[in-house]
Amino acid sequence: MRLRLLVALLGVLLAGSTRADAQAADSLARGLDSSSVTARADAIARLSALGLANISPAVRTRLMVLLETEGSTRFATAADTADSDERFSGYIEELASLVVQFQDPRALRGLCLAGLDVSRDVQLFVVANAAASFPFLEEAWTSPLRQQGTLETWGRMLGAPSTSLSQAQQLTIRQHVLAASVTYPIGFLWAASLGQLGDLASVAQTLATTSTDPIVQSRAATVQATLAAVQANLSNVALLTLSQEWLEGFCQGSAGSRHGACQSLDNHFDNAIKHLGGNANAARNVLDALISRASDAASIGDLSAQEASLVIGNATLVLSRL
Amino acid sequence: MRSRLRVLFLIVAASALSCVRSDRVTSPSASARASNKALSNADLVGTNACGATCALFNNSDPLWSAIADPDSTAIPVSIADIRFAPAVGDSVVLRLSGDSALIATITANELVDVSDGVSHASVSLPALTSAAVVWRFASSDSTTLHVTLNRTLATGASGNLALTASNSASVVSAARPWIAAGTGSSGLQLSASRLAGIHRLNDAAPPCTGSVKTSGPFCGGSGFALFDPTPVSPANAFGAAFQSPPPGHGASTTITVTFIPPVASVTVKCDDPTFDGNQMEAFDIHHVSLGVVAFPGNQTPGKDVPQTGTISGAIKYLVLTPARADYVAYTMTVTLASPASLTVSSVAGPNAGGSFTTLAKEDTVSLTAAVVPSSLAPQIQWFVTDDPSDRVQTVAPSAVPNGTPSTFTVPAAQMTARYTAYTHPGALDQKSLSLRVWAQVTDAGGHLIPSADTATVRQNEIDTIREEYVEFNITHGVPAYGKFKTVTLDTYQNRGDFTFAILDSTFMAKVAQLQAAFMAAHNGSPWQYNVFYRDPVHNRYHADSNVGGGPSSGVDLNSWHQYGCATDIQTFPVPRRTAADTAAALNYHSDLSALARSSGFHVEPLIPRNGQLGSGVGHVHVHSCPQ
Repeated sequence: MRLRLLVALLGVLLAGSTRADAQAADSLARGLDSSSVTARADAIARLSALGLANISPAVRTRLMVLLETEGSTRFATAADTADSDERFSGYIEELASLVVQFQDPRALRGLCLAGLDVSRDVQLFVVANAAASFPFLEEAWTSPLRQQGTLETWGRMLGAPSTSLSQAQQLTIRQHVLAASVTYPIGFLWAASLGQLGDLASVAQTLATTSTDPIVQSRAATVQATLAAVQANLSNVALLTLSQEWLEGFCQGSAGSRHGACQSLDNHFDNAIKHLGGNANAARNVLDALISRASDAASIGDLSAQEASLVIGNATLVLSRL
Repeated sequence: MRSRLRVLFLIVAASALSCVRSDRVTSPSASARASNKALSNADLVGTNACGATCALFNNSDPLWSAIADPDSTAIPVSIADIRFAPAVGDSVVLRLSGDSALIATITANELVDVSDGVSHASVSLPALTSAAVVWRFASSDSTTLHVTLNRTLATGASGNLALTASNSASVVSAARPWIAAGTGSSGLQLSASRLAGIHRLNDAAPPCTGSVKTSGPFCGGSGFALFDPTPVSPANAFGAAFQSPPPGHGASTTITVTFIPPVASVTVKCDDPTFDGNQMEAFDIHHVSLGVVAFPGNQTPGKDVPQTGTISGAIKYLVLTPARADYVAYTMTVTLASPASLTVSSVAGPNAGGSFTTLAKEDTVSLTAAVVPSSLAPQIQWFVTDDPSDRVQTVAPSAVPNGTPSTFTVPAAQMTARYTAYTHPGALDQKSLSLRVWAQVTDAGGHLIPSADTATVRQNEIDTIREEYVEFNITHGVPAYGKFKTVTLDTYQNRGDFTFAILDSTFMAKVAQLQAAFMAAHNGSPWQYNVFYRDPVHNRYHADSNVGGGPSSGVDLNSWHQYGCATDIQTFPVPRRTAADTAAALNYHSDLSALARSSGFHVEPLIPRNGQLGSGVGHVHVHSCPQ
């Protein structure tokens, strides 16, 4: 009886404390509307310190809206940041780190637009909501400063054991990722690395040998070594199937001779996969033809060097196993 | 609130009234007429009623106490407290009489103040040669009037002087806190500086027993005796030391001896007491009797059977009263007790080394003092002020409980403006809170004994840093004391303003792994930490350029750098002169930040500057902090 009373009293005290903290959170939330970055940052930091349990649904919604606003407007136009300025970036980091803890899909756009460079946690939450995030990642991809985080996230999506992405969405992502091997190789390498995309080992190998940037070069070598081990564990069918998916991805929207090359290569992949089941010689012949066709397409510019290296590298590996 | 009205007539109205009441003003008191002598100190001290005319003083000693002194100007010389049972319309008339030459030396701004604690009237002392009504009762409520003198005189003067109060109201009791001190010397109302002088003498001498024969010093100057009447006569019989004047063997009169400071005991040998009634009585500073010793007579004139008595206590004055018509002579020895002493023993905050912050539970400073005699311990008064030896104005507590031990709370509202008064790194005496503490106690003699020392409680360097977290209310709280370690200032690990910093060990290990992973991928690539720790003031005011002068424009005020779990890692190449350099730096930034994220660090994202790529490319900020 006495124990029950004690527990009840403790409950009342804790409830009182929680109510007070929640009120404090609501009070702090007023700072979110300030035009001053410093004031908003302070409100975020103090809300964060209060703990999730004390942040009401209404305040959570305001925080999610704020992150989305920062990501879609201010983030892209901030004019008052010096090279070593940590004020705005620190604020964004704190805001995104808080919002991701809500694990609320309504935060996906804000997280995609402003949070992917902040932490692994943000990326993993977006990956877990891949289909819903797809359009927001497409939006983020349009800003050069968001491409690193977006590529990392896409890499994680492609490497996830299961995904809610549609086939079409996956192909679009593959198209972006492989394109980045040309336009933003360091981002591509991290996408490949984080997704453990062994089927991209040959592309990494190409970057390791062709890039003039020492960071890209050495990262490519490291990634290539890692991916080669993954690649070695992929079956021939899996490797060719994945390669074909990459082909279908980067060939989306192709036209003219590139379109012809893409169709031809796609047919070769179909045949090679079909023959892998029992007719090794036929498979070899098809793979030889595939490699030859890809080389020709690369030589006339219908495929980029990276596209060609993906197709040729994986086909060559399978051929070597037969 | 009593509705009593007071009608106060100042000196301007005095002349006419003095005429009307001149008979009363000048008429001697009943006790004076009975003894056929001038009023003496002894007439009033210890007497509860003084009748229609009270002698508030009857010599020039108060003038010596009224000398202006910087230490005691604000403290009036207390002359008398008289309690009346008045009828409506009753009045008090004051009149000053004495040597006109002496009175002429008293300046007009020497005031007599009469107060009932609510209202008061001030009149010029020399102007009271014309009697003046200074108080008229508008109520029959019992009232105590306090009569004081201010301290404005440039010098004392000696001669005949008396201030009398003629009262139409009935006097219930009268007490005179002012005690004659002898001309040219110090009285009870000593100025603070004179008091300090006496105590310096007293402190320098050990307790002693000495004979006292006349006004003047005893015990090697540690004590001072004042005789009334002055001069007292040397005794001319029985080998005794003194007797009441005049010389000869006539009837003795009362002698009062006042001691400065109070003495611990008095032993008097009374020679030739013939009749019963000879006695001595000792009083403390509050006029409380400490004892009476009778010197029984032998009823045989001419035969000396000396009697000896001793009274102990904090004896301020001694009254030797002869039996009527008896001749006696005295020999007196006194024991001067150890002087009261007070020393501040310790002043310490609750943190290491007695330091403190204004954080709750760290803001309580403990005080102890050693006091002799220990019975004075509960009365010790504490004084806490800003430590003037530094350049910080520390806000002191408004009150400190008396006694020892005691405590006080350092006010939370301190002056953060001090943080903008210096540039990196500044000196501790521009930052640390520091308070000076001293104490005083009133000894048995009514003297204020200041502590022999002052003590200082000052924040140590670590708490000075932690105080910044408190005063700037840094979001993630005040780091524990033990988190701060000595780290060489102005190294990448310590970009703060102190020789202590926090380097979170978990973070340091994790970031070392990050470095190793990066270097494994990019063998030979440059790697440079720019900063780990910043204290809040450095982060807020100096981080931009280390020159201070205003808030930094580009820092995160709640930065994790302040908790030693964040670092900025330089990107390369440096400098970035071309677009190719920026592109290379971006690759470095992207690669390192991706590696950091994948390793579980939080990373501050790149922010465009005017829509251009490149802002923030110069370094990668990573942190991993306990939440």
